[in-house]
Amino acid sequence: MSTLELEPIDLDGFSLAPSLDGEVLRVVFAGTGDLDAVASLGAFLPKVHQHAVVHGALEVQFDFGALEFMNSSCFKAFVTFIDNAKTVAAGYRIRFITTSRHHWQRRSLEALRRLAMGIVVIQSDSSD
Amino acid sequence: MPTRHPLGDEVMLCFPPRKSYVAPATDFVTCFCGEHTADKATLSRVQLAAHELSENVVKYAADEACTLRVRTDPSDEDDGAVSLSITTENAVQPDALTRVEAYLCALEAAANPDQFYDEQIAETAKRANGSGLGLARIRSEAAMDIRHHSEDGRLRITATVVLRREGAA
Repeated sequence: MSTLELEPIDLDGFSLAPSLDGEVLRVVFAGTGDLDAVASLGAFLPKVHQHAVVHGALEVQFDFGALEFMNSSCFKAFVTFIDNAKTVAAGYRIRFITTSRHHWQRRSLEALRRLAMGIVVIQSDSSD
Repeated sequence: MPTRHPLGDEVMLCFPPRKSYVAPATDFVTCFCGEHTADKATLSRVQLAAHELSENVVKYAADEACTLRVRTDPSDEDDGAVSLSITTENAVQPDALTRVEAYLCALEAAANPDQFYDEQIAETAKRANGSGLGLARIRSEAAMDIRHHSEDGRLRITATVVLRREGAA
């Protein structure tokens, strides 16, 4: 596993942990993405793009298996991230790993998939 | 305990616009809805709407008097169904009120909520501040009807969903 100079975020009720495994930059989310998480997430996602480019990642994975909810402001941060990846032809695929335990994920992420078909992939967690 | 109305139940919360009240208000609405349905997908939709509406109140209230009301009424859609509505009300600054009312009119008039939502998503990607997605998200993702009314600088927004009988088609 290569070194990734991307710091995790651990707030009260929300956390994310990035890692790099070969050509996959993975971020595991947990908790609730609400008003308190917006600023941190908004600052974090552009760094994900930068690091994905620097490390030549072919895929950025967002693991939502333990993400209980995400508000529209946090959702917007992903919209911006995906739109940027699409605009600059970033060269990596964006995969969301979801869980059927949290029904909102299928509906929300389908909207993100429609934003960038061919770039965004939705994958249901096989452990559901 | 909910107030027992002749035709439905209703509970109202009054609170100042503090972030710490969003989660309890959301949980409260979801529990209230749980009295009428055990369907997890429906509860998730109601939870999403309650969270977005509560956050909007907290973010945009122009004074300390915010209310959130949740009520059920018999629905005329089918036998035994109930209509659940979540209503928030708060004071809004005049310039902001003009903007949000224009947005709400467009949202309510949109024939295709998903298409409207996709358009808002495309627009917000280029916008620096504010997502502008919360209400469109309620109408598209939560598949809830949205209505609004303003009077004397106060904005009232209602999101409504029909809860069908368990096992009904």
